[in-house]
Amino acid sequence: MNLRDNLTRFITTEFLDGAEHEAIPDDLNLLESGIIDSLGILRLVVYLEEELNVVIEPEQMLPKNLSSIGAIMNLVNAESGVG
Amino acid sequence: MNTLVTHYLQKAAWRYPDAGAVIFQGRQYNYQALDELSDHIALGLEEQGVKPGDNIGMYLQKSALALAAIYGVLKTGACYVPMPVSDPASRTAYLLKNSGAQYLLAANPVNKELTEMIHADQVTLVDINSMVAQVEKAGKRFTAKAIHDQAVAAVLHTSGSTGAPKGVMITHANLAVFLDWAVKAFALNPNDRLLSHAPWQFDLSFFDIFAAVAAGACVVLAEPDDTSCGVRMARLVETNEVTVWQSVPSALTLQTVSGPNRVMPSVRQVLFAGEPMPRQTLVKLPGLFPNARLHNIYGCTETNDTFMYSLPENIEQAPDPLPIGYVLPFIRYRIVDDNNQDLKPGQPGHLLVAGATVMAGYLGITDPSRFTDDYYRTNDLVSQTDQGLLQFHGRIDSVIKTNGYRVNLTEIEDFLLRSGQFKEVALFSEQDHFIGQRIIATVRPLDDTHCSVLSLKIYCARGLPNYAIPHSFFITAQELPKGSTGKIDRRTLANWWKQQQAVKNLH
Repeated sequence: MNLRDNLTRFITTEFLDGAEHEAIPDDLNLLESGIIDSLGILRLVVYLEEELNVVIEPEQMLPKNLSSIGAIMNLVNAESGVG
Repeated sequence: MNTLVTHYLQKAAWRYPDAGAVIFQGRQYNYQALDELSDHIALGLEEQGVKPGDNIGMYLQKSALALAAIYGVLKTGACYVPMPVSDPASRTAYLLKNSGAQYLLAANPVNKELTEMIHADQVTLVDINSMVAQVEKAGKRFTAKAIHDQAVAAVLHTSGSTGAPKGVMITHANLAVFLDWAVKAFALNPNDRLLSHAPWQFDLSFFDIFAAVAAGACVVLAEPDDTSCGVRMARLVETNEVTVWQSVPSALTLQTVSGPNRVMPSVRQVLFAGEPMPRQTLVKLPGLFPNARLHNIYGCTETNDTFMYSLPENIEQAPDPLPIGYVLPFIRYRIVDDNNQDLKPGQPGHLLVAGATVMAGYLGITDPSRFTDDYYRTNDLVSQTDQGLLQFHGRIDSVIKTNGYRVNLTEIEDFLLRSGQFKEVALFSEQDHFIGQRIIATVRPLDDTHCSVLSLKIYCARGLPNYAIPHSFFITAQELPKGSTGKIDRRTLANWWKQQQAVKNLH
Protein backbone atom coordinates (compact mmCIF):
# COMPACT_ATOMS: atom_id res chain seq x y z
CA MET A 1 0.00 0.00 0.00
CA ASN A 2 1.30 3.47 -0.78
CA LEU A 3 1.61 6.38 1.60
CA ARG A 4 -1.61 8.09 0.46
CA ASP A 5 -3.65 4.91 1.01
CA ASN A 6 -2.08 4.37 4.41
CA LEU A 7 -2.87 7.90 5.49
CA THR A 8 -6.42 7.75 4.13
CA ARG A 9 -7.06 4.50 5.95
CA PHE A 10 -5.62 5.82 9.21
CA ILE A 11 -7.62 9.06 9.03
CA THR A 12 -10.82 7.28 8.03
CA THR A 13 -10.51 4.74 10.84
CA GLU A 14 -9.38 7.14 13.55
CA PHE A 15 -11.28 10.32 12.78
CA LEU A 16 -14.16 9.50 10.46
CA ASP A 17 -15.55 6.57 12.43
CA GLY A 18 -14.27 4.20 9.74
CA ALA A 19 -17.69 4.48 8.20
CA GLU A 20 -16.64 4.80 4.61
CA HIS A 21 -13.82 4.32 2.21
CA GLU A 22 -14.07 7.33 0.04
CA ALA A 23 -11.19 9.36 -1.25
CA ILE A 24 -10.17 12.31 0.93
CA PRO A 25 -8.96 15.13 -1.34
CA ASP A 26 -5.22 15.73 -0.94
CA ASP A 27 -5.78 19.40 -0.26
CA LEU A 28 -8.72 19.14 2.14
CA ASN A 29 -7.82 21.04 5.33
CA LEU A 30 -8.28 18.38 8.01
CA LEU A 31 -8.03 20.91 10.86
CA GLU A 32 -10.52 23.48 9.57
CA SER A 33 -13.01 20.76 8.74
CA GLY A 34 -12.92 19.48 12.30
CA ILE A 35 -11.53 16.09 11.32
CA ILE A 36 -8.33 16.45 13.38
CA ASP A 37 -7.88 18.51 16.57
CA SER A 38 -4.79 19.03 18.78
CA LEU A 39 -5.00 15.58 20.28
CA GLY A 40 -5.66 14.24 16.81
CA ILE A 41 -2.40 15.83 15.63
CA LEU A 42 -0.67 13.99 18.44
CA ARG A 43 -2.23 10.66 17.39
CA LEU A 44 -1.25 11.35 13.81
CA VAL A 45 2.36 12.05 14.82
CA VAL A 46 2.46 8.86 16.90
CA TYR A 47 1.10 6.94 13.90
CA LEU A 48 3.70 8.43 11.57
CA GLU A 49 6.49 7.65 14.01
CA GLU A 50 5.42 4.19 15.09
CA GLU A 51 3.76 2.75 12.02
CA LEU A 52 5.63 4.52 9.25
CA ASN A 53 8.95 4.97 11.08
CA VAL A 54 9.13 8.67 10.30
CA VAL A 55 10.67 10.91 12.95
CA ILE A 56 8.99 14.31 13.16
CA GLU A 57 11.14 17.03 14.74
CA PRO A 58 9.33 19.51 17.01
CA GLU A 59 10.27 22.26 14.53
CA GLN A 60 8.23 20.46 11.90
CA MET A 61 5.30 19.72 14.20
CA LEU A 62 3.29 22.65 12.88
CA PRO A 63 -0.40 22.51 12.03
CA LYS A 64 0.34 23.65 8.48
CA ASN A 65 2.63 20.64 7.94
CA LEU A 66 -0.07 18.25 9.10
CA SER A 67 -3.18 20.00 7.87
CA SER A 68 -3.90 17.90 4.77
CA ILE A 69 -2.97 14.58 3.25
CA GLY A 70 -0.85 16.43 0.69
CA ALA A 71 1.00 18.35 3.43
CA ILE A 72 1.59 15.17 5.45
CA MET A 73 2.95 13.38 2.38
CA ASN A 74 5.37 16.26 1.74
CA LEU A 75 6.48 16.18 5.36
CA VAL A 76 6.98 12.41 5.40
CA ASN A 77 8.91 12.50 2.15
CA ALA A 78 11.11 15.34 3.39
CA GLU A 79 11.76 13.78 6.80
CA SER A 80 12.59 10.36 5.36
CA GLY A 81 14.89 11.98 2.83
CA VAL A 82 12.96 10.73 -0.18
CA GLY A 83 11.59 13.95 -1.62
CA MET B 1 -13.29 56.04 40.57
CA ASN B 2 -13.16 56.12 36.82
CA THR B 3 -10.56 53.49 35.88
CA LEU B 4 -10.11 52.54 32.25
CA VAL B 5 -8.24 49.55 30.87
CA THR B 6 -5.97 51.99 29.02
CA HIS B 7 -4.96 53.67 32.31
CA TYR B 8 -3.07 50.54 33.32
CA LEU B 9 -1.00 50.73 30.16
CA GLN B 10 -0.29 54.43 30.58
CA LYS B 11 0.75 53.83 34.17
CA ALA B 12 3.03 50.92 33.28
CA ALA B 13 4.59 52.92 30.42
CA TRP B 14 5.30 55.76 32.82
CA ARG B 15 6.65 53.61 35.67
CA TYR B 16 8.48 50.91 33.70
CA PRO B 17 9.09 52.34 30.19
CA ASP B 18 11.99 49.96 29.48
CA ALA B 19 10.47 46.83 31.01
CA GLY B 20 9.19 44.09 28.71
CA ALA B 21 5.46 44.35 28.02
CA VAL B 22 5.03 41.60 25.45
CA ILE B 23 7.13 38.84 23.93
CA PHE B 24 6.12 37.58 20.52
CA GLN B 25 8.12 35.16 18.37
CA GLY B 26 11.16 35.64 20.58
CA ARG B 27 11.11 39.43 20.29
CA GLN B 28 10.42 41.64 23.29
CA TYR B 29 8.61 44.98 23.12
CA ASN B 30 8.87 47.32 26.10
CA TYR B 31 6.06 49.32 27.68
CA GLN B 32 7.03 52.57 26.02
CA ALA B 33 6.94 50.88 22.58
CA LEU B 34 3.57 49.24 23.25
CA ASP B 35 2.08 52.52 24.50
CA GLU B 36 3.40 54.51 21.53
CA LEU B 37 2.30 51.96 18.97
CA SER B 38 -1.19 51.89 20.46
CA ASP B 39 -1.24 55.71 20.33
CA HIS B 40 -0.45 55.54 16.63
CA ILE B 41 -3.18 53.01 16.03
CA ALA B 42 -5.66 55.18 17.95
CA LEU B 43 -4.68 58.20 15.85
CA GLY B 44 -5.03 56.23 12.63
CA LEU B 45 -8.45 54.95 13.64
CA GLU B 46 -9.63 58.46 14.50
CA GLU B 47 -8.51 59.63 11.08
CA GLN B 48 -10.59 56.83 9.59
CA GLY B 49 -13.57 58.29 11.45
CA VAL B 50 -13.75 56.00 14.47
CA LYS B 51 -15.64 57.61 17.37
CA PRO B 52 -16.21 56.70 21.03
CA GLY B 53 -18.90 54.04 21.27
CA ASP B 54 -18.06 52.45 17.90
CA ASN B 55 -17.51 48.72 17.66
CA ILE B 56 -14.36 47.65 15.82
CA GLY B 57 -14.01 44.14 14.44
CA MET B 58 -10.53 42.78 15.23
CA TYR B 59 -9.57 40.36 12.48
CA LEU B 60 -5.95 39.84 13.46
CA GLN B 61 -3.83 36.90 14.46
CA LYS B 62 -2.31 37.05 17.90
CA SER B 63 0.80 39.27 17.79
CA ALA B 64 2.42 42.22 19.56
CA LEU B 65 0.84 44.47 16.91
CA ALA B 66 -2.60 42.99 17.60
CA LEU B 67 -2.13 43.65 21.32
CA ALA B 68 -1.25 47.27 20.54
CA ALA B 69 -4.35 47.35 18.32
CA ILE B 70 -6.60 46.35 21.24
CA TYR B 71 -5.20 49.21 23.32
CA GLY B 72 -5.38 51.53 20.32
CA VAL B 73 -9.08 50.78 19.81
CA LEU B 74 -9.73 51.32 23.53
CA LYS B 75 -7.87 54.64 23.54
CA THR B 76 -10.31 56.01 20.96
CA GLY B 77 -13.22 55.12 23.26
CA ALA B 78 -14.38 52.41 20.87
CA CYS B 79 -14.67 48.77 21.79
CA TYR B 80 -12.95 45.76 20.24
CA VAL B 81 -14.84 42.76 18.91
CA PRO B 82 -12.47 39.82 18.32
CA MET B 83 -13.16 37.89 15.10
CA PRO B 84 -11.02 34.78 14.69
CA VAL B 85 -9.19 34.65 11.35
CA SER B 86 -9.71 30.88 11.39
CA ASP B 87 -13.51 31.27 11.13
CA PRO B 88 -15.33 30.63 7.86
CA ALA B 89 -16.15 33.91 6.08
CA SER B 90 -19.89 33.50 6.67
CA ARG B 91 -19.34 33.45 10.43
CA THR B 92 -17.16 36.56 10.35
CA ALA B 93 -19.86 38.29 8.32
CA TYR B 94 -22.40 37.26 10.96
CA LEU B 95 -20.21 38.61 13.79
CA LEU B 96 -19.82 41.92 11.94
CA LYS B 97 -23.53 42.24 11.37
CA ASN B 98 -24.44 41.22 14.91
CA SER B 99 -22.01 43.67 16.48
CA GLY B 100 -22.93 46.48 14.09
CA ALA B 101 -19.20 47.02 13.51
CA GLN B 102 -18.50 49.64 10.84
CA TYR B 103 -14.78 48.85 10.71
CA LEU B 104 -12.80 45.67 10.37
CA LEU B 105 -9.21 46.03 11.49
CA ALA B 106 -7.17 43.48 9.55
CA ALA B 107 -3.78 42.77 8.04
CA ASN B 108 -3.80 42.46 4.26
CA PRO B 109 -4.37 40.31 2.37
CA VAL B 110 -7.86 39.36 3.58
CA ASN B 111 -9.46 36.42 1.75
CA LYS B 112 -11.57 37.31 -1.26
CA GLU B 113 -14.83 35.79 -0.07
CA LEU B 114 -14.80 37.85 3.13
CA THR B 115 -13.70 41.02 1.32
CA GLU B 116 -16.73 40.74 -0.95
CA MET B 117 -19.10 40.14 1.94
CA ILE B 118 -17.67 43.12 3.83
CA HIS B 119 -18.05 45.31 0.79
CA ALA B 120 -21.70 44.34 0.39
CA ASP B 121 -22.31 45.24 4.05
CA GLN B 122 -20.50 48.60 3.72
CA VAL B 123 -17.99 47.81 6.41
CA THR B 124 -14.67 49.67 6.10
CA LEU B 125 -11.72 47.33 5.88
CA VAL B 126 -8.71 48.95 7.58
CA ASP B 127 -5.27 47.51 6.88
CA ILE B 128 -3.38 48.00 10.12
CA ASN B 129 0.11 48.00 8.59
CA SER B 130 -0.47 50.76 6.07
CA MET B 131 -2.47 52.75 8.63
CA VAL B 132 0.39 52.66 11.15
CA ALA B 133 2.94 53.54 8.46
CA GLN B 134 0.91 56.61 7.45
CA VAL B 135 0.49 57.84 11.02
CA GLU B 136 4.20 57.47 11.71
CA LYS B 137 5.02 59.48 8.63
CA ALA B 138 2.65 62.28 9.67
CA GLY B 139 4.23 62.40 13.17
CA LYS B 140 1.17 63.68 15.04
CA ARG B 141 0.59 63.09 18.75
CA PHE B 142 -2.41 61.37 20.24
CA THR B 143 -4.42 63.15 22.91
CA ALA B 144 -6.31 60.97 25.37
CA LYS B 145 -10.10 61.19 25.32
CA ALA B 146 -12.41 61.53 28.28
CA ILE B 147 -14.16 58.18 28.45
CA HIS B 148 -16.59 56.89 31.07
CA ASP B 149 -15.76 53.61 32.77
CA GLN B 150 -19.27 52.34 31.96
CA ALA B 151 -18.31 52.41 28.28
CA VAL B 152 -18.11 49.01 26.64
CA ALA B 153 -14.51 47.89 26.15
CA ALA B 154 -15.00 44.48 24.55
CA VAL B 155 -17.74 42.45 22.93
CA LEU B 156 -17.07 38.70 23.04
CA HIS B 157 -19.30 36.35 21.12
CA THR B 158 -20.44 33.23 22.84
CA SER B 159 -22.96 30.48 22.37
CA GLY B 160 -26.29 31.49 23.82
CA SER B 161 -28.99 29.17 25.15
CA THR B 162 -30.79 29.22 21.83
CA GLY B 163 -30.09 30.26 18.29
CA ALA B 164 -27.07 32.15 17.05
CA PRO B 165 -23.99 33.41 18.97
CA LYS B 166 -24.58 36.44 21.18
CA GLY B 167 -22.32 39.41 21.83
CA VAL B 168 -21.46 39.86 25.51
CA MET B 169 -20.73 43.50 26.39
CA ILE B 170 -17.91 43.99 28.90
CA THR B 171 -17.27 47.49 30.27
CA HIS B 172 -14.05 49.13 31.43
CA ALA B 173 -15.45 49.07 34.97
CA ASN B 174 -16.15 45.30 34.70
CA LEU B 175 -12.53 44.73 33.72
CA ALA B 176 -10.97 47.12 36.24
CA VAL B 177 -12.56 45.31 39.20
CA PHE B 178 -11.40 41.97 37.85
CA LEU B 179 -7.85 43.18 37.11
CA ASP B 180 -7.34 44.72 40.55
CA TRP B 181 -8.44 41.45 42.11
CA ALA B 182 -6.27 39.31 39.83
CA VAL B 183 -3.10 41.29 40.52
CA LYS B 184 -3.63 40.88 44.26
CA ALA B 185 -4.89 37.27 44.28
CA PHE B 186 -1.91 35.91 42.34
CA ALA B 187 0.62 38.47 43.63
CA LEU B 188 1.40 39.51 40.05
CA ASN B 189 4.42 41.80 39.81
CA PRO B 190 6.84 43.26 37.24
CA ASN B 191 9.01 40.12 37.42
CA ASP B 192 6.18 37.91 36.23
CA ARG B 193 5.73 36.56 32.74
CA LEU B 194 2.17 35.56 31.95
CA LEU B 195 1.38 33.14 29.19
CA SER B 196 -1.27 34.15 26.68
CA HIS B 197 -2.51 30.69 25.75
CA ALA B 198 -6.21 31.20 24.98
CA PRO B 199 -7.28 32.90 21.75
CA TRP B 200 -8.36 36.49 22.33
CA GLN B 201 -12.03 35.90 21.49
CA PHE B 202 -12.08 33.96 24.75
CA ASP B 203 -12.69 35.69 28.10
CA LEU B 204 -9.69 33.87 29.63
CA SER B 205 -7.55 36.31 27.63
CA PHE B 206 -8.57 39.27 29.83
CA PHE B 207 -6.33 37.90 32.54
CA ASP B 208 -3.40 37.22 30.22
CA ILE B 209 -3.27 40.46 28.30
CA PHE B 210 -4.76 42.99 30.74
CA ALA B 211 -3.70 41.70 34.17
CA ALA B 212 -0.11 41.42 32.94
CA VAL B 213 -0.16 45.13 32.07
CA ALA B 214 -1.96 46.02 35.32
CA ALA B 215 0.96 44.40 37.18
CA GLY B 216 3.68 45.85 34.94
CA ALA B 217 4.49 42.24 34.02
CA CYS B 218 5.22 40.80 30.60
CA VAL B 219 2.89 38.66 28.50
CA VAL B 220 4.29 35.86 26.35
CA LEU B 221 2.11 35.17 23.32
CA ALA B 222 1.48 31.56 22.28
CA GLU B 223 0.35 31.09 18.70
CA PRO B 224 -1.83 28.27 17.39
CA ASP B 225 1.39 26.59 16.15
CA ASP B 226 2.52 26.44 19.78
CA THR B 227 -0.74 25.56 21.48
CA SER B 228 -1.35 22.62 19.16
CA CYS B 229 1.92 20.96 20.15
CA GLY B 230 2.85 20.06 23.74
CA VAL B 231 6.59 19.93 23.07
CA ARG B 232 6.58 23.41 21.52
CA MET B 233 4.50 24.80 24.40
CA ALA B 234 6.91 23.45 27.01
CA ARG B 235 9.78 24.97 25.06
CA LEU B 236 8.03 28.37 24.82
CA VAL B 237 7.53 28.35 28.59
CA GLU B 238 11.12 27.33 29.25
CA THR B 239 12.76 29.78 26.82
CA ASN B 240 10.74 32.74 28.05
CA GLU B 241 10.73 31.74 31.74
CA VAL B 242 6.97 31.97 31.99
CA THR B 243 5.82 32.24 35.62
CA VAL B 244 2.03 32.19 35.25
CA TRP B 245 0.16 29.67 33.11
CA GLN B 246 -3.56 29.99 32.47
CA SER B 247 -5.44 27.72 30.09
CA VAL B 248 -8.39 25.42 29.72
CA PRO B 249 -7.90 21.97 31.30
CA SER B 250 -7.73 20.25 27.90
CA ALA B 251 -4.58 22.26 27.08
CA LEU B 252 -3.01 20.87 30.25
CA THR B 253 -4.18 17.38 29.27
CA LEU B 254 -2.34 17.84 25.98
CA GLN B 255 0.83 18.66 27.95
CA THR B 256 0.50 15.52 30.07
CA VAL B 257 0.16 13.23 27.06
CA SER B 258 2.74 14.89 24.78
CA GLY B 259 5.52 12.33 24.90
CA PRO B 260 8.37 12.73 27.38
CA ASN B 261 7.10 15.21 29.93
CA ARG B 262 8.97 18.48 29.89
CA VAL B 263 9.07 19.92 33.38
CA MET B 264 8.31 23.64 33.66
CA PRO B 265 9.96 24.76 36.93
CA SER B 266 9.72 28.51 36.19
CA VAL B 267 5.93 28.48 36.55
CA ARG B 268 4.69 29.54 40.01
CA GLN B 269 0.92 29.84 39.34
CA VAL B 270 -1.23 27.54 37.21
CA LEU B 271 -4.81 28.61 36.59
CA PHE B 272 -7.33 26.46 34.78
CA ALA B 273 -10.85 27.43 33.85
CA GLY B 274 -13.58 26.78 31.33
CA GLU B 275 -14.47 23.15 31.94
CA PRO B 276 -14.10 20.44 34.62
CA MET B 277 -10.51 19.28 35.23
CA PRO B 278 -10.12 15.52 34.66
CA ARG B 279 -8.53 13.76 37.64
CA GLN B 280 -6.00 11.87 35.52
CA THR B 281 -4.65 15.19 34.26
CA LEU B 282 -4.73 16.86 37.66
CA VAL B 283 -2.57 14.21 39.33
CA LYS B 284 0.16 14.73 36.72
CA LEU B 285 0.35 18.52 37.12
CA PRO B 286 2.75 18.62 40.12
CA GLY B 287 5.18 16.61 37.98
CA LEU B 288 4.95 19.14 35.14
CA PHE B 289 4.91 22.22 37.38
CA PRO B 290 6.94 21.31 40.52
CA ASN B 291 6.97 24.89 41.87
CA ALA B 292 3.43 26.00 41.12
CA ARG B 293 0.24 26.55 43.07
CA LEU B 294 -2.82 25.23 41.21
CA HIS B 295 -6.13 27.07 40.97
CA ASN B 296 -9.43 25.85 39.57
CA ILE B 297 -11.43 28.86 38.43
CA TYR B 298 -15.09 29.00 37.53
CA GLY B 299 -16.92 31.64 35.54
CA CYS B 300 -18.39 32.35 32.15
CA THR B 301 -18.08 35.06 29.53
CA GLU B 302 -21.11 36.91 30.93
CA THR B 303 -19.74 37.15 34.48
CA ASN B 304 -15.98 36.67 34.16
CA ASP B 305 -14.43 34.67 37.04
CA THR B 306 -16.79 34.22 39.97
CA PHE B 307 -15.50 31.28 42.06
CA MET B 308 -12.08 29.82 42.72
CA TYR B 309 -10.70 26.74 44.41
CA SER B 310 -6.97 26.93 45.17
CA LEU B 311 -5.66 23.41 45.57
CA PRO B 312 -3.80 22.32 48.72
CA GLU B 313 -0.08 21.68 48.28
CA ASN B 314 -0.76 17.96 48.47
CA ILE B 315 -3.31 17.70 45.69
CA GLU B 316 -4.37 14.23 46.85
CA GLN B 317 -6.25 16.08 49.61
CA ALA B 318 -8.42 17.89 47.05
CA PRO B 319 -11.97 16.55 46.74
CA ASP B 320 -12.83 14.48 43.66
CA PRO B 321 -14.44 15.90 41.53
CA LEU B 322 -12.77 19.25 42.13
CA PRO B 323 -15.07 21.91 43.60
CA ILE B 324 -15.58 25.06 41.56
CA GLY B 325 -14.62 26.96 44.67
CA TYR B 326 -15.39 29.81 47.02
CA VAL B 327 -17.00 33.02 45.84
CA LEU B 328 -14.70 35.87 44.77
CA PRO B 329 -14.91 39.14 46.75
CA PHE B 330 -16.78 41.16 44.11
CA ILE B 331 -19.53 38.57 43.53
CA ARG B 332 -22.84 37.80 45.27
CA TYR B 333 -24.63 34.55 44.53
CA ARG B 334 -27.77 32.55 45.18
CA ILE B 335 -28.55 28.86 44.74
CA VAL B 336 -32.27 28.51 44.08
CA ASP B 337 -34.95 25.97 43.15
CA ASP B 338 -37.28 26.22 40.15
CA ASN B 339 -39.42 28.77 42.03
CA ASN B 340 -36.43 30.99 42.86
CA GLN B 341 -36.48 29.97 46.52
CA ASP B 342 -33.05 29.85 48.13
CA LEU B 343 -31.81 26.35 48.92
CA LYS B 344 -29.94 25.05 51.95
CA PRO B 345 -26.34 23.80 51.75
CA GLY B 346 -26.18 20.33 50.22
CA GLN B 347 -29.21 20.84 47.99
CA PRO B 348 -28.42 21.26 44.28
CA GLY B 349 -30.05 24.13 42.44
CA HIS B 350 -29.62 26.92 39.91
CA LEU B 351 -26.63 29.18 40.36
CA LEU B 352 -27.38 32.91 40.08
CA VAL B 353 -24.61 35.49 40.31
CA ALA B 354 -24.42 39.27 40.55
CA GLY B 355 -21.59 41.72 41.04
CA ALA B 356 -19.17 44.19 39.56
CA THR B 357 -17.81 41.92 36.81
CA VAL B 358 -21.19 40.85 35.43
CA MET B 359 -21.66 42.01 31.83
CA ALA B 360 -23.56 45.13 30.81
CA GLY B 361 -25.81 42.86 28.73
CA TYR B 362 -26.04 41.15 25.36
CA LEU B 363 -25.53 43.38 22.35
CA GLY B 364 -28.87 44.21 20.76
CA ILE B 365 -30.84 41.78 22.92
CA THR B 366 -32.88 42.43 26.00
CA ASP B 367 -33.29 38.98 27.44
CA PRO B 368 -34.86 39.39 30.89
CA SER B 369 -35.11 35.62 31.26
CA ARG B 370 -31.37 35.48 31.89
CA PHE B 371 -31.69 37.79 34.90
CA THR B 372 -33.64 37.43 38.15
CA ASP B 373 -33.52 40.85 39.79
CA ASP B 374 -29.91 41.80 39.09
CA TYR B 375 -28.69 38.20 39.27
CA TYR B 376 -27.48 36.51 36.10
CA ARG B 377 -28.77 32.95 35.66
CA THR B 378 -25.76 30.80 34.77
CA ASN B 379 -27.90 27.77 33.78
CA ASP B 380 -25.45 25.72 35.84
CA LEU B 381 -26.62 23.41 38.60
CA VAL B 382 -24.52 23.57 41.76
CA SER B 383 -24.62 22.81 45.48
CA GLN B 384 -22.59 24.20 48.33
CA THR B 385 -21.16 23.00 51.64
CA ASP B 386 -21.82 24.77 54.96
CA GLN B 387 -18.52 26.58 54.39
CA GLY B 388 -19.64 27.95 51.00
CA LEU B 389 -17.56 25.64 48.83
CA LEU B 390 -19.45 25.05 45.58
CA GLN B 391 -19.66 21.88 43.53
CA PHE B 392 -20.78 21.76 39.89
CA HIS B 393 -23.48 19.25 38.90
CA GLY B 394 -24.34 20.01 35.27
CA ARG B 395 -26.23 22.24 32.85
CA ILE B 396 -29.96 22.81 32.40
CA ASP B 397 -29.72 23.54 28.67
CA SER B 398 -28.01 22.13 25.58
CA VAL B 399 -24.78 24.04 26.11
CA ILE B 400 -21.71 21.84 26.48
CA LYS B 401 -17.97 22.37 26.85
CA THR B 402 -15.60 20.75 24.41
CA ASN B 403 -11.88 21.47 24.42
CA GLY B 404 -12.75 24.40 26.68
CA TYR B 405 -15.09 25.94 24.10
CA ARG B 406 -18.69 26.62 24.96
CA VAL B 407 -20.91 25.12 22.29
CA ASN B 408 -24.67 25.14 22.00
CA LEU B 409 -25.91 21.93 20.41
CA THR B 410 -29.12 23.66 19.26
CA GLU B 411 -27.05 26.08 17.18
CA ILE B 412 -25.39 23.21 15.34
CA GLU B 413 -28.75 21.45 14.86
CA ASP B 414 -30.17 24.62 13.32
CA PHE B 415 -27.18 24.92 11.04
CA LEU B 416 -27.51 21.33 9.80
CA LEU B 417 -31.29 21.64 9.33
CA ARG B 418 -30.86 24.80 7.25
CA SER B 419 -29.04 22.72 4.61
CA GLY B 420 -32.41 21.22 3.67
CA GLN B 421 -30.79 17.80 3.28
CA PHE B 422 -32.25 16.13 6.34
CA LYS B 423 -35.62 15.01 7.61
CA GLU B 424 -34.41 15.07 11.18
CA VAL B 425 -31.32 16.17 13.07
CA ALA B 426 -30.53 15.71 16.75
CA LEU B 427 -27.31 16.32 18.64
CA PHE B 428 -26.09 14.91 21.90
CA SER B 429 -22.75 14.73 23.65
CA GLU B 430 -20.82 12.03 25.46
CA GLN B 431 -18.11 12.29 28.09
CA ASP B 432 -14.54 12.21 26.89
CA HIS B 433 -11.43 11.90 29.07
CA PHE B 434 -9.37 14.31 27.01
CA ILE B 435 -11.65 17.02 25.67
CA GLY B 436 -14.48 16.96 28.19
CA GLN B 437 -17.37 16.26 25.83
CA ARG B 438 -17.59 14.85 22.31
CA ILE B 439 -20.35 16.08 20.02
CA ILE B 440 -22.36 13.46 18.14
CA ALA B 441 -24.77 14.53 15.42
CA THR B 442 -27.54 12.18 14.38
CA VAL B 443 -28.83 12.93 10.90
CA ARG B 444 -31.66 11.32 8.98
CA PRO B 445 -31.12 12.32 5.34
CA LEU B 446 -33.91 12.85 2.81
CA ASP B 447 -34.62 9.70 0.82
CA ASP B 448 -32.62 10.62 -2.24
CA THR B 449 -29.74 12.24 -0.38
CA HIS B 450 -26.46 10.44 -0.06
CA CYS B 451 -24.25 11.71 2.68
CA SER B 452 -21.01 10.58 4.23
CA VAL B 453 -19.20 11.60 7.40
CA LEU B 454 -16.59 13.32 5.25
CA SER B 455 -19.13 15.34 3.25
CA LEU B 456 -20.91 16.35 6.47
CA LYS B 457 -17.67 17.59 8.04
CA ILE B 458 -16.84 19.59 4.92
CA TYR B 459 -20.34 21.08 4.91
CA CYS B 460 -20.02 22.10 8.59
CA ALA B 461 -16.63 23.72 7.97
CA ARG B 462 -18.35 26.24 5.70
CA GLY B 463 -20.45 27.70 8.50
CA LEU B 464 -19.16 26.60 11.89
CA PRO B 465 -15.91 27.29 13.76
CA ASN B 466 -13.86 24.08 13.75
CA TYR B 467 -14.37 23.35 17.47
CA ALA B 468 -18.15 23.21 16.90
CA ILE B 469 -18.02 20.66 14.09
CA PRO B 470 -19.47 17.39 15.44
CA HIS B 471 -16.79 14.83 16.25
CA SER B 472 -18.97 11.98 15.02
CA PHE B 473 -21.95 11.66 12.74
CA PHE B 474 -24.58 8.99 13.21
CA ILE B 475 -26.29 8.63 9.85
CA THR B 476 -29.54 6.72 10.02
CA ALA B 477 -32.54 6.09 7.77
CA GLN B 478 -34.74 5.30 10.78
CA GLU B 479 -37.13 7.77 12.32
CA LEU B 480 -35.56 9.22 15.45
CA PRO B 481 -37.00 8.05 18.80
CA LYS B 482 -39.56 10.41 20.41
CA GLY B 483 -40.88 10.84 23.92
CA SER B 484 -44.55 11.20 24.81
CA THR B 485 -44.51 14.93 24.03
CA GLY B 486 -43.14 14.29 20.54
CA LYS B 487 -39.71 15.64 21.43
CA ILE B 488 -36.70 13.69 20.19
CA ASP B 489 -35.50 11.40 22.96
CA ARG B 490 -31.76 12.02 23.08
CA ARG B 491 -31.12 9.44 25.77
CA THR B 492 -32.49 6.62 23.59
CA LEU B 493 -30.58 8.07 20.68
CA ALA B 494 -27.35 7.95 22.69
CA ASN B 495 -28.07 4.27 23.42
CA TRP B 496 -28.61 3.53 19.70
CA TRP B 497 -25.28 5.18 19.03
CA LYS B 498 -23.52 3.19 21.77
CA GLN B 499 -24.94 -0.05 20.42
CA GLN B 500 -23.90 0.79 16.89
CA GLN B 501 -20.37 1.59 18.10
CA ALA B 502 -20.23 -1.66 20.10
CA VAL B 503 -21.26 -3.67 17.02
CA LYS B 504 -18.64 -1.86 14.95
CA ASN B 505 -15.92 -2.60 17.49
CA LEU B 506 -16.71 -6.32 17.25
CA HIS B 507 -15.81 -6.37 13.59
